[in-house]
Amino acid sequence: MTVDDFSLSALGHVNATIRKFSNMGMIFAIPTPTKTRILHLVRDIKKNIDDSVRGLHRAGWFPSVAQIAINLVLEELRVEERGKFAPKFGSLIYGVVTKTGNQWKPLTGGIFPLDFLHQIAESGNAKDVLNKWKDIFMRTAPPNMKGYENLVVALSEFIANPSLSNYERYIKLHLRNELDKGRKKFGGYEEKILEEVVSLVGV
Amino acid sequence: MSEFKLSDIFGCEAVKNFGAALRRALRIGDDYASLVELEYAETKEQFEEVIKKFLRRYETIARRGYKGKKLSRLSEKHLEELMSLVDKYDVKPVRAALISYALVKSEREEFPESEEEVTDYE
Repeated sequence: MTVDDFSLSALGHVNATIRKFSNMGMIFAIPTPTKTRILHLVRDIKKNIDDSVRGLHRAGWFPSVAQIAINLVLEELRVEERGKFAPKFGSLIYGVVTKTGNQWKPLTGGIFPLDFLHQIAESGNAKDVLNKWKDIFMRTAPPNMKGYENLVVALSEFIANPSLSNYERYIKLHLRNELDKGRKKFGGYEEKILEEVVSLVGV
Repeated sequence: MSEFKLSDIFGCEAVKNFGAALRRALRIGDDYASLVELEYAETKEQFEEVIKKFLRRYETIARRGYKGKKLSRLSEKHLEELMSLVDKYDVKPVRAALISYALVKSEREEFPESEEEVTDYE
C-alpha cells in the first residue's frame, strides 16, 4: 500500500463515518467495505442510516452500534433489491468518546461483527427479522423510554454474539416484556421467523 | 456433547406442543410461576420437577378453558419425547426452545377476532 492509497482510504473513511451523540457521549461508526461503490456508501447508505438512527440510544453506546449495524445491513438489502449492485460491509469499526468537563476523552472502541446479521440477511424472512429488531431499537431509543435498557442490551449482545446463553437472555426479557401489563409491546415472533433465527444460534 | 443446532430441538413436535401450552398458560392462566421455575431449572431432576408442577397447573387452566372451550391437553408421548430431548441435548437448549415458543404469535394474536383453535390429543 502506498501513501496515496492510505490517504485515499483515510479520506474515504472520514466521509463514511457515522457520528451520533447525546449528553452521554459520542460514537463514531465506520462501515468497513468489502464490496462497495463510493456513491452508494456516501450518498445513499450513510444518509439513510443518519435519518433512521437519531442520536445515541438511551441504553448506551453498545445498543447504538448494534442499531447502526442493523440499519446498515437493511441498507445493503435495499440497494441489492434494486438489482444492479449488492454492497457488502465486513464489519463496523467504532470508537466512543465521552465528555469529562470541557474535554472529550476516548472511552472505548472495537469492531462490531456483522456476520450474524449477514446470515439473517441471506434467510428467507430477512427483512421481517431485521425490521422487527430495528423497530425495537428505534422505539426504545428516546431519552424518555425508561425501563427497556436490559432488553436492548441483551438483543445487542445476541446480535454481536449469537450464542445460546445470549439468545436465552434476550428471549426471556422479550417474553417478560410482552407479559408485563402497562409496558410498550414489541409483539411476538411468527413461528417461521423464529425458526430461522434459532437455526443460527450456536449451541 | 455432539454439535447440534437449536433448530433441531425447536422443530420437535413435543417442544412445539409444550411451548404452545406454556404460552396458553401464561396468556390465559397467568401461570408466571411455571415460567420462573423453568428459567431456573439447571439439571434434569429440576426440569422434571418443573414440568410436573407445570402439568398440574396447566390441567387446571385447561379444564377451566378459554371463552367456553376447553384447552388442548399434552400427551404422554410428547412428555416422553421432551424428556428424551433433555437426555440427548441437556436442559439449557430445551429450556430455551420452550421459552421461545411462548413468544411465538398464536393464531388468536394474529387474528384478534377469531377464536383460538382447540384440539384434544387424548
